[in-house]
Amino acid sequence: MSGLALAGSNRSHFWRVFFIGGLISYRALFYWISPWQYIPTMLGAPLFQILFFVYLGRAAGVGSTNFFVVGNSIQICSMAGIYGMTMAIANERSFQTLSPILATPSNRLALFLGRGLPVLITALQTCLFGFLVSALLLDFRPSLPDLPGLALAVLVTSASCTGFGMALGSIGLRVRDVFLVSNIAYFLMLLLCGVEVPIGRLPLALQAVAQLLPLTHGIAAGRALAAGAGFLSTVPDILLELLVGGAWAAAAYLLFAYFERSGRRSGAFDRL
Amino acid sequence: MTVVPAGTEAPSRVTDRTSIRYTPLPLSSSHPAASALAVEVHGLRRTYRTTTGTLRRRRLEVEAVRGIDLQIARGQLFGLLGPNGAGKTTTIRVLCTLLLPTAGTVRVLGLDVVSEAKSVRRQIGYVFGGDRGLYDRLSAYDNLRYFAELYALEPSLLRRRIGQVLEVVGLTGREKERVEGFSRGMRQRLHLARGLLHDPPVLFFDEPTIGVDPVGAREVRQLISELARAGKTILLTTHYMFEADSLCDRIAVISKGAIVAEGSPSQLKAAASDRTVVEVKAYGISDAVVESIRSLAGVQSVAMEVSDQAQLLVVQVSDADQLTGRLMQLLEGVRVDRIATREPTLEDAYVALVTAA
Repeated sequence: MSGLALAGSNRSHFWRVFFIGGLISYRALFYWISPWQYIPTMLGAPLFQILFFVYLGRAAGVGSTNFFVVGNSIQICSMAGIYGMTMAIANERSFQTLSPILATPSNRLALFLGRGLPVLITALQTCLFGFLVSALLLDFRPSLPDLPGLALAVLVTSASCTGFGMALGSIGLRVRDVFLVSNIAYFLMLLLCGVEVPIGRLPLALQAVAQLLPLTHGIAAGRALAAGAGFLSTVPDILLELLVGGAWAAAAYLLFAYFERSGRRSGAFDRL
Repeated sequence: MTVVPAGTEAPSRVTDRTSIRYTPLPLSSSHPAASALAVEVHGLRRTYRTTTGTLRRRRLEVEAVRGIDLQIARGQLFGLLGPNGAGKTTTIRVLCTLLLPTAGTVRVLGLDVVSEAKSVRRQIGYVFGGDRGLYDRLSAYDNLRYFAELYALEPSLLRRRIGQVLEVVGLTGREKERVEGFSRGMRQRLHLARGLLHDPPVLFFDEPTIGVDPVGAREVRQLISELARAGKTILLTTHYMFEADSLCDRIAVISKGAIVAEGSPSQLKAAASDRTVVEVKAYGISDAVVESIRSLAGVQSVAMEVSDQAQLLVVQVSDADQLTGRLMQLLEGVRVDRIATREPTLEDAYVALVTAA
């Protein structure tokens, strides 16, 4: 009988699964990775969304260009965060690869969180593209000293959207048509998180819901920075965004762990 | 249940394996050595809960496995045969730690599949049939690379090991191609390669040749045979009797969630030696005629296969001389192409066991 050859330490195994495993699974499961899908979906559609709302705002005489540029340029990260993470986790079910994965002794936290890193980078790319085209086409000019703060707000918001997407992806391990849930979540965030409509204009109950969603605090911070409010004044919003994203990511992992356990009880793995 | 003692007969595995050589990993680490048995299953029960109806939802319980016992010695190639829904896959999924038993104890190399699941996973390889379960957009190499990481293969060994398993399954040279362009047989071989990556001492094959063309299926069988020769413990489920007959040291027949017979292939065949098989190739046998044949005294079982227009009626009888005449009487008016008698095969024994269960 021959033997196993296991990697030297649990720590190196964790990071290999996190980085290498995360990247491979992203290439395997992210539908829009080919340029034919990536360019129209991740760049084309967001560009037209920004242009649409900026020109709508200008025509209707509501909001400033910066209001819509910042709101929409940050919001478009949620496309990668929500749909990308839903694909990265829930597609294991449709590919019927969940059973072989769960039959391995791999570290589940690394397996789960590692999928978020490429998605986070995709989300950042999308935001960067949104701000660049806004600078080129819509005369968006944030002050230079506020750029690092704006970049931090974008990073934190992209991460929190990824955390939220992880939760939706985990639900997809059990719910058959999780992309319906993702669609609803995506457009609900467009409505509730202050992207197009100031949160203060929403009914109080919806304002409360908005506080628990990613984007809300990140967009508020981004707008304040673009208006020259200074980094320090946006720290509470950035921290809140981080907290919301972290809470969703933690909930996502707990859901994943719960579904793995309950899947062993119910036999639900790979049931299409 | 018929239980035949183990170890009385030599295995009759396929021998034409000149093109396949299994290479184990060069490094060794600790294996659980507590148990002489590779697999121990005692009183395994598994119940599924399901619901029906939309407005008035009704809960149903389906008992997939009803208290089975299995013991597989280290290095044994054990076949689990049974019709669809008999409980084969459920049993394998419990052994692979993917399902929890409703009752009973299940151990792999002495490790409990419930409380020591992670340790069990290091010791097993799980290979299932069908063309799903792979990442279509990745190359064969990347599919294996991903699982090599999940199995925590030593980075310095990883590339070489992937090369080895690709060679073993005959996919060398195709590793850079995307799996979406692979035939079913190639996909099945990739499944096998994935199951062998970490060189597990215990392998579970769940219908590994299903849907694979005859040449591909033969290669898979050769590989399984080679793995058994390399000392692996293998549990194989299959619908194909000749496959089990040619490969397995021991076989258990499972029907409706219970083991109905266990023994070596020839011992199981002997269980049907008290009968003769009458095969009738004909056209236009009605269901009523089949029922009439079934009700004849001395008829053990009746099965009918349909191929194009022709029907093949397979009747197991205790006394062929006496019953052939009666059979022909009942087939009057039916166009009979051929009638022949023969000794029972493992498949006949299987049909007899499953029909009687």
